[in-house]
Amino acid sequence: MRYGTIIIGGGLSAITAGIALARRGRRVAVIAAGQPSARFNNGAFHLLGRFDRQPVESPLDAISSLAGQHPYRLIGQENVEKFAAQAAAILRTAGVNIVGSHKRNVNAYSPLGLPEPAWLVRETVLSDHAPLPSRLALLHIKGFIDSPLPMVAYHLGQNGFQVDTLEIDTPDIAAARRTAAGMRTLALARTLGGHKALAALHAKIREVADPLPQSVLLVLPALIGIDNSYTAQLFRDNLGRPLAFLPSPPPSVLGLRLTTELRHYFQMLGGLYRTNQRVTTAHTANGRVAYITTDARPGMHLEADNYILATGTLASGGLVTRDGAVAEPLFNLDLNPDGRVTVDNNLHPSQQGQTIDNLYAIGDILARDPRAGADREGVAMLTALHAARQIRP
Amino acid sequence: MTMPELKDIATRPAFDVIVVGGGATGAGVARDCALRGLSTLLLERDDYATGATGRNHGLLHSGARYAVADRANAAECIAENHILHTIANHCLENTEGLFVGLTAEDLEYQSVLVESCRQAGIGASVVTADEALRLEPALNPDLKGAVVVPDATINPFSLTHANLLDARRHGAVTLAGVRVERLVVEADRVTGVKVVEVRSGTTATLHAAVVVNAAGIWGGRLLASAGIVLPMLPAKGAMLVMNGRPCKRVVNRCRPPGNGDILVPDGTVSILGTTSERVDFDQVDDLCVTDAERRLLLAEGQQLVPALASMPIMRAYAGVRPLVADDSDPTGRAVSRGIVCLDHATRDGIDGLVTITGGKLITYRLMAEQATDLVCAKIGLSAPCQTATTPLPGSETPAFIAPRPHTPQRRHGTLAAQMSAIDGDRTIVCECEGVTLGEIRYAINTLGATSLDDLRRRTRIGMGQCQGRQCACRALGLIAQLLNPESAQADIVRFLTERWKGIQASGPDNALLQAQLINDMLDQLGVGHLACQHQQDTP
Repeated sequence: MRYGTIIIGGGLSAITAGIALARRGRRVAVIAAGQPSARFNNGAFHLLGRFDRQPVESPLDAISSLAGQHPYRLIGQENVEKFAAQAAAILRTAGVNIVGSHKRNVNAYSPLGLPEPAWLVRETVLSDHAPLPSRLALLHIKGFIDSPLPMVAYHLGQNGFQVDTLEIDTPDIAAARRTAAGMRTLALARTLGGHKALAALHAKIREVADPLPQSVLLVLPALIGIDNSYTAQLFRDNLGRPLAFLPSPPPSVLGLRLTTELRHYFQMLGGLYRTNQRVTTAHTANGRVAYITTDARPGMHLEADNYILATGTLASGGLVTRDGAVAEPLFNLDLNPDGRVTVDNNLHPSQQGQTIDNLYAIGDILARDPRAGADREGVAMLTALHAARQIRP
Repeated sequence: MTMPELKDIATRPAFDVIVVGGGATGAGVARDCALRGLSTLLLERDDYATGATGRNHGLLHSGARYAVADRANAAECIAENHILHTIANHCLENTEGLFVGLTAEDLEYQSVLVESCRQAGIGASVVTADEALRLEPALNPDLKGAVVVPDATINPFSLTHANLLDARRHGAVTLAGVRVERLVVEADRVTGVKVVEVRSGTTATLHAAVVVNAAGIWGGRLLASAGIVLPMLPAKGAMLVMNGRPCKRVVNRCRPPGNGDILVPDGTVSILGTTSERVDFDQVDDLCVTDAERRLLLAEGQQLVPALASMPIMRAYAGVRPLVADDSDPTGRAVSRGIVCLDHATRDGIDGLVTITGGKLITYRLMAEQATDLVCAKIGLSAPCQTATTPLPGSETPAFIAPRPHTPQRRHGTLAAQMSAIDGDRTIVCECEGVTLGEIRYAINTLGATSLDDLRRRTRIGMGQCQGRQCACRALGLIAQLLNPESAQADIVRFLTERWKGIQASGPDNALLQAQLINDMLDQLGVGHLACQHQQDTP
């Protein structure tokens, strides 16, 4: 089998590279081993949220302080700006309803109710991209324990908000509460996804919130719209009063939705998405990747003009440990002392000092600056776009 | 029901008994005293079952391990083994045990072992190598022979809390988080204790007719405050939690006790133990498993069960055996075997004080009985001990059929029935261990949990394969809801630090992976920057 480009990995960086290549009509295949890491997304995207643990206001300004090996320095300031705008455009076209810009971070509220500096955030998610009112009302779905609302209330209170908590219960919620697993985020989201259940929830929220002034912002755990962003938008817009969604800890509705939105867009562009296949061997000769094989058809050689390695870190198997030392298992790539893959300015990694010309490494697997924090999505998407741009027909 | 605090009892008149130490022994003493009608107060400096009780391999000895070297000890073990099968059936898993011989020397020891077991009254039957492999296919296929013995496993947390619960039901007061600073001695008589509530710093002096020192390895320091010298010899034992259960039964190496000679199943995981090493007193509060200990345990364990070589280690931990120097040996080097129950009136001329230490988890009840007999003699009460026949709360059904693992029933026995009273109580909070919302509520309201770590000891939340990554956040929300949100954020950092300590000791490969997984989760919660901080601060 021969492809234009084979992307190894199925996370945010892999799918972004796939979309960028497919948009230009390239023949591209994504080979994903397991659950994509985008499932863990909580509605916010970070370019550079923290430096030395301190919040960063303007990510572009802070990039010049980063160490030379950080991917943003390799890509170059000008490209960071260009790719950041491109990444936002890709997300919007895929149907991810984001706001924000790379010029200035916004505060997106985490599942614990803590403000965290973000580059982009879903427009329906609680953030200060537009001024927030001083009074919030947390809508507590009775019996839902995946969102730690008492802690959220405490943290929001500490950040200067007046916070009320209102309990919401409907017959659908009550039925879910009587089962062992019905109150888990994704199960409850499916329960609440039907038209009748949504209407009942709508009516209940209106009724419970009725005594509160219109200016109070209602905050509901993000349980609406498991497949697409429109459902959540419609739910909010038709409520007749302001509402924002609070992400719940992973695996979350927002993460699952992001995965679905990006994969659908990629496939719509003609990209080939193979899941539950692990690339098991890679063969290189004369500084180039010759072919790879997967565990699905071990005897079949998969060949391409270019390969992109987007397999992530230890958590996803992109890196492994052997008696305390980190290694890249597929190509045995050169790593830095922190155990991450080092690349040149074009994102080509090396094998025992020899650059592999038709291989690009992107995303979490790359070497960083340990002082940089909250930069995961930015590194994933920007390195993906940088690699994709260099792949010519 | 809210748990009493120090201020609630500081004004009460003197108790009959104050028990110092909330391990299995202290809990057993408190229960026995309360059952005999004594007004009883138990004080624990940290949380219940945090010392040696919660840091062993959870083996319910048949006594076979001691049968050769110490027959009296072995006889005690098998007698208590039978009693616990009746009174604490919900805390046990009746696994059976195997002594596996791998070498010719092992086989020689085997014949001595079988004869010693027979004399001590321990049922031991020899099986051939083929039979042993049929019983446990994961054993080393080169084994020479094996002996089947009535070993079982015990959940020390369930056991301790069942004792505490019954003590409270019979009027005892139990306080966790209250540290005894020193004994109060007036005219050659201990009349009470000076205490400090750890959380608030509040101090008080509490009085009792008799004080029972059940503080384990920490008891030596307590006695020193009354000028009594009891040389204690802390012996560290290291254990590895293996992520799998290759054997249904407890597997022992058939040779004199040594390092890495036992594999104890525990639900879906197994504990590989142990080592024995003298440590200094200043180390007993902060033990960690060293690289050398991990390698030693693995090397020995693999000989018994080869599959351990490729099995991931989830975490590692260590406990301290509260060994006591034998009073008859003036050098203080010889270790006293078995139970040590001391009347300090006859030993040191100080009345009103009893020390109960040494022993084993399995003999906790007998230890409690001996200490309580002594207390009753001092007070002049002739009440018979009932603990050998009265079932613990949760074990009231005589023929307790162990429910499947990972259920509240497995941990709380018949008491689990009351944990689904409220609508929504069946919601699963921890998938790995099957902890329900009702069980969490029960652990907080009835068993006095005030932190994630307390919840872990009472319900096993966070002890399963994910090590708390999935459920810590949910449990945190419940703690914030049921207790107070102010402490919740600090609590998750503390909880993960504690887990992290165990994970680090499990070996460099797993440590790196787990650190990555924990960091990924904390990133999504918006506290990633705090996580980096605590991991760097933790050596």
